[in-house]
Amino acid sequence: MKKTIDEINERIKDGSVAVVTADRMSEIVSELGPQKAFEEVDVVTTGTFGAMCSSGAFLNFGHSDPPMKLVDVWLNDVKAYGGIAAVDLFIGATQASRSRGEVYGGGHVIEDLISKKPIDVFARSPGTDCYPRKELETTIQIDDLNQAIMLNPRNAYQRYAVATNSTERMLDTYMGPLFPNFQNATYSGAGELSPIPNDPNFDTIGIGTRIFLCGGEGYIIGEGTQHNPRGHFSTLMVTGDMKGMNPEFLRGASFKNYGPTLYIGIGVPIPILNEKIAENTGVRDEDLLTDLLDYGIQRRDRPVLAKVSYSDLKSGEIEVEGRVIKTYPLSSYSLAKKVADTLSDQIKRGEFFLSESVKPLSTTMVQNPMRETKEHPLVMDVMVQDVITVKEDYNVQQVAKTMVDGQITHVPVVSNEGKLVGMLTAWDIAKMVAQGREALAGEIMTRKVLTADLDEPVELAARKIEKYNISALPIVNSENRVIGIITGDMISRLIGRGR
Amino acid sequence: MKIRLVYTPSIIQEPLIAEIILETGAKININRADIGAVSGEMVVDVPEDKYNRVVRLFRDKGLKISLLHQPIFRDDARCIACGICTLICPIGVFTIEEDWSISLEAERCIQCGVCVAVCPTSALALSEGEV
Repeated sequence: MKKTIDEINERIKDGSVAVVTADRMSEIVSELGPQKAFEEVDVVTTGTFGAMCSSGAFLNFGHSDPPMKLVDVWLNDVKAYGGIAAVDLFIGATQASRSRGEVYGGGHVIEDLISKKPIDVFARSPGTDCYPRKELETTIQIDDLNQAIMLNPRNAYQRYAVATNSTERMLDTYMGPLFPNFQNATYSGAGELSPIPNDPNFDTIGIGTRIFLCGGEGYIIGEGTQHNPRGHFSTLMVTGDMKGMNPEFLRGASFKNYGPTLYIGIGVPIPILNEKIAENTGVRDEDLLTDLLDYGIQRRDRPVLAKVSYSDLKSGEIEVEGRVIKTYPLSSYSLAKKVADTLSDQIKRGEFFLSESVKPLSTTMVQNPMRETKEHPLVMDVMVQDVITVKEDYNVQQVAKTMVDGQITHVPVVSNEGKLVGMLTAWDIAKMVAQGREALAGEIMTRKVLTADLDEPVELAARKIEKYNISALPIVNSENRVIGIITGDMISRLIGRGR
Repeated sequence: MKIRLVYTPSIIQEPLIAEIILETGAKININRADIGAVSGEMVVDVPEDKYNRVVRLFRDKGLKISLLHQPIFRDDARCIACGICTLICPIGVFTIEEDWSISLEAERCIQCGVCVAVCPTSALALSEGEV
């Protein structure tokens, strides 16, 4: 048995359509089975409401007089991209304001436009014979624009990795604040309510699928960037007319020490055309597994610490190797539910009809890491290998002599077994001398020592040195023995040489 | 009842709070205290029955006092109920409810301000209090 989208649209028209939200459908499928669920339900509505950085809008301003090519443009002091014709612009969600910094950005401009707030426009141009004007200042609101079209290259991730932090330091990330030593984990996505998990093989979702986008009508126009169906990290590229959107279903936002972004509400209707599709919409939070990643590792390939399900995440804590980690959402489940409910109501009231997709999204697309043609130096390429160390029982005099003899200003302190236990700088020694105090290395050393890895890019080591305001990083092997040292001076010399 | 005290730094030389506690027997709880070069600020919790006496004594010592009926405000039109505030608040003022709404026990807030800095949609603001 089968249904068609045309038949479902007829039912929407005559008011007999049976619509349920995806969370309710999971219950129906587990109670009645997919066959009965298919017979009972025509449409399942999904919803998600999360921070979606890869979002933005094309705006057309109409021409000024004298005409001008808008080259360098700022909207409420947020830079927009003007490299497309004379009066078309693209404003991206994560672009930060040049005057206000990370607290206001492109996402806020988009929200302010949809809220019909005035936007200050400032533009500069070199001037040409056909576009002579060089500078322009005006204030507009959305109704003054000919077109305001949201176009988001990557939205509605199928699922998203969970973030935690193994290091001893707090991290501010786009996954929110991550406390030291696995004290918390943050996750995003609505789980069983999210669009793609309800149609993971794209039996209905495709190019041309009409969707609910930020309170207005939108369309799926293709696979989102980084669409990775084999890894269950599929994404959507979507578009919609901003003039029909509702500010309740999007929000300009900013993550501390990360910057601006945009929270987007998306709902995709899934027509229940056959039993298989019904079965897929029966997906439950416990079936949806995602990776727990350590954001303490600042590399592309972060180790997967565990697989966790959305039902674990929503319970408020997960258990990983005997350790209980508290979990916190970053996306809004209550607004995701509101998206699914609102879409459901629109369909029941005959205000939203389903569209036939013209091409399903890819189920085979593969994503590769960036090809990098210029080598970047690693810590092992620049570190000093013959490291001078001192023992814990050295006195100030002995440490000072070691530093002077070795012409060094930082010295690792090692135990009798040769393992790293602390660091001493010339400053620590100078302080002791200034105070006329006698002490042993083990008493005055810094015990919490940040280290670098052999295969760590020098750039990351430099960031650690800068961020934590230190001047040297020892490199240790798996037995915690010092095998090298890298200092701020070495990095400066490297940069000074032009590489 | 929560009050916010603003004082000049010189005042910290005196065991002011200790004196008031000894004099009134009030169990004053210091929620938060900061000191800067030109002024300092403290949020304290004072039992209701001793409130008037304690406030009078603080005033006599020259401290500026504001009553924090509601130390923190949430703009519900901007709040998206994501839950980051529940993560960051050291006091546990915010709670994720069964229906995924976020409840707020404003009166427990000590005005540390970390949630204000972390809230992605800038929905939270600290109250100035009533003088």
